[in-house]
Amino acid sequence: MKALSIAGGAILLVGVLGWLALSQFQTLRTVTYVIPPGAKQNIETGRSGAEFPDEIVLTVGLKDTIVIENRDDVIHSFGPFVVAPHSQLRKRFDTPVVYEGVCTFHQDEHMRIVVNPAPWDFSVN
Amino acid sequence: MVKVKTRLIEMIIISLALLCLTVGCQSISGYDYKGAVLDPPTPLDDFELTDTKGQPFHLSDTDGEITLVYFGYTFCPDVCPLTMWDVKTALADVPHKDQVNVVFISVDPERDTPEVLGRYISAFGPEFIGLTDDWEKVEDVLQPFGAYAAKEEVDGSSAGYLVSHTARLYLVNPKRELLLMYPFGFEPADLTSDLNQLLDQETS
Repeated sequence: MKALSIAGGAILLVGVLGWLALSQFQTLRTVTYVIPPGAKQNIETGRSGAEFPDEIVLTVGLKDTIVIENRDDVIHSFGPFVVAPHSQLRKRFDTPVVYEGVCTFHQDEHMRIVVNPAPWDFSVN
Repeated sequence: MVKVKTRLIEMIIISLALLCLTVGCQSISGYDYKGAVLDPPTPLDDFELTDTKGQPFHLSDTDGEITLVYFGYTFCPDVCPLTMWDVKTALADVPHKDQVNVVFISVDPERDTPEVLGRYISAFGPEFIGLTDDWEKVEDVLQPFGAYAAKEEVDGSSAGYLVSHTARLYLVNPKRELLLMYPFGFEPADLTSDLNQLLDQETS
């Protein structure tokens, strides 16, 4: 009887943990950047536009989704994409790829996105 | 004993229900677009350019339908024809492609006359619409798309010059809002999937 109770408790625990893991997975695989209000003006006046890495590295299946939230009043380029004012851009990468392009909220106006293959994808070198 | 078994069954049911709820919610939460999604979609003002028959064309002429917009030029040696070919490949697996327009806007109006553009664009299919006009008008159209184009002189080239330009493809929804974009080198299957999803939404 005690064993049955323990087994039942274990099953419930696994269920709850599984539920929590799955519900959090979407958040965990997303990296979000915010373009602050006035970013363009700040860059034009030589001040820092936004804290952004020169290179963003993602991994298919794990951390493969990028969200760019543009809180500025002007359109911004972000590598191969653009983000309209007060809008957000969301892109999930399903395949490995490298993009280099213009970034209008980087001081040097250049950025790179590297999407690595999933660790379990042995078909891609 | 019976009470314990009942409790055990209850626990199993609760666990399974939680898992099903999570997985179910994720699948119900919607289709995951393959292109980069703009949220909210960006409304686009109407514009007028000249089509390959020399007639005025308005973006609003495509209201109620899906429109793919691309900025390119017929002398482009690689990126433009490859992208147009990818679009054509993607459309081949779209059953309702008659509800999709492909608008190719020339960023080289100096050389891309309506006649030149017409010959080029007709090679891809009837859904493809070629537009050209004065550079000033084209430049105005580039801005809301966050696109750019600039002439680049090339020494020793028989083409005389090339045009450096944005290579992304834009998807405008039937409400004339910019919804999706695809960088150069996108998978045609991704575009096919998004188009079919949007067309299904329209018909359902």
